Amino acid sequence: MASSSLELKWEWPAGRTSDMAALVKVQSIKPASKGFFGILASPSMANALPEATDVSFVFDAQGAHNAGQVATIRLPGVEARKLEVGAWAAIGLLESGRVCACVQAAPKVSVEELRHWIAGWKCPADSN
Amino acid sequence: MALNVVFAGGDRVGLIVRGKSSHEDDPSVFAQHADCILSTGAPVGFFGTGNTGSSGGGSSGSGASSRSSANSSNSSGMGMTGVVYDQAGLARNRANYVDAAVAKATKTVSTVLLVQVSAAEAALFDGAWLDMTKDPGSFQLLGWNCSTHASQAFRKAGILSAGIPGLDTPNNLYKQLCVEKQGKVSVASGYVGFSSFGSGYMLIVEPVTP
Repeated sequence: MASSSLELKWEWPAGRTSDMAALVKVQSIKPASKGFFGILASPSMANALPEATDVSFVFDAQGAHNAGQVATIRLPGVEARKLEVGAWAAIGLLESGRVCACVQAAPKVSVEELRHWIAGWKCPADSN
Repeated sequence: MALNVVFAGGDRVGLIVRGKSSHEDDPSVFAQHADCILSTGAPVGFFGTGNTGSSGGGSSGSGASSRSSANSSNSSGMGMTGVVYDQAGLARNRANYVDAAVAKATKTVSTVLLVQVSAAEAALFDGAWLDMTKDPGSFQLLGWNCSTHASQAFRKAGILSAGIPGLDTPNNLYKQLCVEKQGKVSVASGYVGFSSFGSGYMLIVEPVTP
């Protein structure tokens, strides 16, 4: 297992198709810091997101991408609310895995079944 | 009922005040942001980037232009690097600003001020934003921000005669345009989106319903 945390960036798909899908287990979900006087949440900051929420997770130890790697990402609140601490989720990645463009809660089935499920999973937007 | 505006004649441009729910609304300073609408209907906006301790850096790929470096640690909103997001950059980094469905899901309400201009003013306005895209320069949350740069475009185009009265905020720029361009402006508030239409874009403003 890698020791340092991987930092991913959220972007909306904007017509792009995700390069890869990964199964992850959510470790924590918490509101992002707004900084001094709320400056970091100012919508004029390039990285600001609506209801910014910090999520940490670990990639499936038997997955094809970043196996066992701990990662963090700042998500829009509307996306973070799809996730649950301690539960599995699917994420769609772009740009060599640096950018996350979609998240979805995984079905409540065994991890073995999820590993089959993720193999055929696509971002909901990619399925349209 | 949604308002749809097709930009075809190069005879109007716009200011969008994010976080402003109506013509009368006066949002707090750090709750507002200014974007503009070019004469083609394309949205464009100026943002600040740097190491603010949040995930990731500036935009990836195309759709954004920023002068590199100067990404020193920053939590004050001062001494940052400017970045201009065009339609593509906004779609990736601020889908809630260009997709009415995402705006609705994230409760992102904006007020759009459309301004009738001459063809020459429209061309100069578009050109001013093109220049800023090529060289965005720096960003400071107070005094050299999104509204300052939007104001510069309106002034370079000859649409406005002077800088923003008072603090450089999107809403103060909005008020200035309403006064100076009285009779040549129209307003719509709600969830804002843009879609390709012909060689330009169509602006969509969906009303906020309880």
